[in-house]
Amino acid sequence: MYLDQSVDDGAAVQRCLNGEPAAFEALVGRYQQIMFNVALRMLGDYEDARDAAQNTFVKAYEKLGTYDPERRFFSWIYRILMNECLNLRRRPATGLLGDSEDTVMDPSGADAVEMAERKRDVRHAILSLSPAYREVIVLRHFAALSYEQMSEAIGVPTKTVKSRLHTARQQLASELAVWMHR
Amino acid sequence: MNPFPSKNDELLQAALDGELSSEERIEFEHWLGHDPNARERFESMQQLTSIVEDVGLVPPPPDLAAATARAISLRKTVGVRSAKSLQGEMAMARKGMIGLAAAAAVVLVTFAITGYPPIGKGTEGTIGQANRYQSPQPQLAASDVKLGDTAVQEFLQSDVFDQLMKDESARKLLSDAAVRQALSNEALDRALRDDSVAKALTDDSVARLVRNDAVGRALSDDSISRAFADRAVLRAMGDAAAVRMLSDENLQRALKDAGVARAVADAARVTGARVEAVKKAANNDGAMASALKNSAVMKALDNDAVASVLAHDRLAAMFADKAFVNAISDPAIANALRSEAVYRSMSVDAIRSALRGDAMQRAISSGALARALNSNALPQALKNDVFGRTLMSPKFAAALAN
Repeated sequence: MYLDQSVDDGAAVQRCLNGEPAAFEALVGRYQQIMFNVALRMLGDYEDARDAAQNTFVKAYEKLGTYDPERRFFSWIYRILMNECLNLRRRPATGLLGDSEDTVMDPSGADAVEMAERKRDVRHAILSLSPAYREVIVLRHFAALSYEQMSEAIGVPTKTVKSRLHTARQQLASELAVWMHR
Repeated sequence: MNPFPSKNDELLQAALDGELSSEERIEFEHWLGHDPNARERFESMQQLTSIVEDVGLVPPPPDLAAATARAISLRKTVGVRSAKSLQGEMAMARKGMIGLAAAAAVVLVTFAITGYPPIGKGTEGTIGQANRYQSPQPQLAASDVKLGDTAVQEFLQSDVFDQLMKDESARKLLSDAAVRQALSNEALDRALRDDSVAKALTDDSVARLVRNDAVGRALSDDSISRAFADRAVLRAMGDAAAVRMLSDENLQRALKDAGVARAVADAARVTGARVEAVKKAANNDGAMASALKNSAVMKALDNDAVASVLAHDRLAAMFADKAFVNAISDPAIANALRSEAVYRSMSVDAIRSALRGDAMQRAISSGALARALNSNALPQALKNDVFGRTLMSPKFAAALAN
């Protein structure tokens, strides 16, 4: 997972509940990249991802009293994020699906163009997966979660995580066949 | 059902994800060493992983943490929310509703005080309920219970409504004829019939907003209230932004300009990226709001792709820059921006900056850049990254100017 596992989120939550709101800023700082990127890959739109991440943090702050310190903080806040993503998906998309992050131009010519096209195709392929399959791909490849961490975050058995991951990868391999074996 | 055709497939995936036990690793390596097909499959899976992960992580929006902190600062104390309050919050359909709810609440209270025209068909009970506050001897008429929208009635029976009615400043504000007139428009009437809005009215944040002096002053201005009566405008603002904006004197001044108010309202009627542009405009201390007065800019915003570009934070800030506004106001350039390739190039900071440069400005005013941008060849060329870099070079801009 792209997060420092040694950090004690529970302590930050407790400080927050004890009237030290600044402790929550540390949690936002720690999780904003992962939350934003998960939302971005789930929704495919930069602005929607920003909204989802912000709403998630605000709701997490307000419901902090319901957080069970026995669970990983990420798993708890991830569920809030998924609900936000679902809510946002019910409204019309505000951006260009999957293309709103095409902002970097690499100077190295044709290779860079090809790389940009490949990345775009990958983003589209991820978005073409059903939410359940997309979720495991995103958590595995963009949050680097283990099977067990994914199982806790999604709320399904590890076996299901592995099964979904396998099917999702088969679908991705099919979608991205043109980019394989190059 | 096990989706893995064989135990080995499961092993391959576990190896790929670094989930093998030490025993499994030995088994896996032995198998791979003796089976070329397995090696090939494993390499293929590794390649897929590499392709997928090449997409990489995107830096979060630079203002995400600050915007979150602002939104939180407007909320109640952490961890002590009552169950009722949390329930009310669940009823908030989504962001932006607080602003709308505030306006709608004001209207409801206005009706209650003045007996102003019925809210609409199907809400007879609302009026009946409200009229109890006017009548010297409140009576519950049969029509009180004939509600098309129970949530509105819930609001009218809520503590919030009761508090509003007892709030002297709210009553004073709502007794003002100008305020009543400003708030009696069809947009708010329609808004009141919206289920999610009506539910939002039950949230006590409405009461806080309505008691806010700045909100009161803002709503008492005819042009401001017209703009804010538009659901799209309110949705565009977001809850935290709504309070901040209504309290922002610069924005209030900007919105008092009928042209700006109309522009904001017009722009916000179009959902999607354009709304995002308006949101950015509104958050930019009137600089972008001022730019929105420019009909050419508004025309440019008709294009979702353009609006999407313009909605970016850093670009929104550039609306304070006259040269930049001139550049995007040029009809030919706005037209060129409809090209996907040009749009993509606009996403590059350096190109945005180039648009503001003196040399580029000369190119713009001479029409050379517009002609170039509108040729079929240039957007095609822009698909090439090297050319994109060329376009943003000062030398290219200078060459165009000549």
